[in-house]
Amino acid sequence: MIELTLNGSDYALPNDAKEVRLADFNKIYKISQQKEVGYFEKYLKIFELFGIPYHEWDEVSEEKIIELIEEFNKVKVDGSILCNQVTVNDRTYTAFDGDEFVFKARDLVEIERAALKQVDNFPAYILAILFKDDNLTKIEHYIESHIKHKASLFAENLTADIAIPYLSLVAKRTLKSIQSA
Amino acid sequence: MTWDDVSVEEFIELTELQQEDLTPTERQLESIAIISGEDTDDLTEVELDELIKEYSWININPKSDANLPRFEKLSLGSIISLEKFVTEKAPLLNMDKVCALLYERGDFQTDVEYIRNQPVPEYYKATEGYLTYRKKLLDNYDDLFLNDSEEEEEEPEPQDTVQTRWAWMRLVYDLCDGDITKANAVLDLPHLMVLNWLTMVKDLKLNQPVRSVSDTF
Repeated sequence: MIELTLNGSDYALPNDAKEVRLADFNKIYKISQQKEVGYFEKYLKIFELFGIPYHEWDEVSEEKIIELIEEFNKVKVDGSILCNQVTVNDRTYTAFDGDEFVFKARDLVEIERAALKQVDNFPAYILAILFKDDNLTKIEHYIESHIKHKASLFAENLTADIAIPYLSLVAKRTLKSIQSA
Repeated sequence: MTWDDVSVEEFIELTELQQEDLTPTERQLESIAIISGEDTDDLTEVELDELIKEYSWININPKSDANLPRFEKLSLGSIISLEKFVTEKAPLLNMDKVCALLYERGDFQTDVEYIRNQPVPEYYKATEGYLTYRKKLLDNYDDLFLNDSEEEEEEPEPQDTVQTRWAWMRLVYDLCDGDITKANAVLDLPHLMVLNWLTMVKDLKLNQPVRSVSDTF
């Protein structure tokens, strides 16, 4: 955690992805995608998510804010480690078997759909697409309402360190598709 | 595999895909499934990329060395029928019907069925070739489709849809003098002969009544 005092009040910001609930990370992701919001404003909105009121920054210098943003961005997550299985409410969900993760074409289609629809909880939604309930058939897995429900479940029970590596892979895949188009 | 292995029917299905609300990857998967007949449901990313590379030729239009049909020989009736098929939806979606009229062999429905099963390149070329011919035709004879009041204005008002829809049949009506029993004979005439005839009538004002004997000399 990053601990700081502003105007006599103590606050804490997470700097480890394991400390961030996926529900909060969904909101962070959504703020980061807002094109009409400036650089500083994005971070102040993110900090507000973690309990630091907007008005606390009124008297804080630009240098101090920049320092804090840099510290916050050193968030600890190993992007190369992919979690292949999670358990939520006694149900097990698996993203891949074996040593290596490879996207399924069908999953890429669902991820593209979610991106085009600009779903609110994109990181959790991606995990809901990729992590499949071991007890369901393929048809059942891809029902939209099932994916939506699972995304909500994951948002409340998982942390950002599971989503970030997959988000990174999705970004790389998107870039590859654009370059080959 | 090349376009020579793709039938007109499959090409029409591919064209229909362009109109559907699909994601880019979905469109690629559906296109490959139509052409290859493969089940693309369980493909991995790696397999998909290989197939996209293998079928990258579908991003280039079909080409053919076949000769184009002789568009100028088409009857007026064929031109009017073609007009329906190239305007009711995207022309390539009606490629089978358009080519059945361009390559008229006999019964229309039989021709359509035959063409749907043929390799697409020759028929794609014929359809695109006809669209180019049609544009030149409409440009060269556009004044035949304007009514008299529109001719006098510098910038004519857009024709209402009723007038536009019936413009060709209006020509037939004028040539028949409104006598429907003569329509078939007119429709069998070569379209260029009819259009040139009508242009002559319009240019020489041959259809306007003579006011007095002195106007004739």
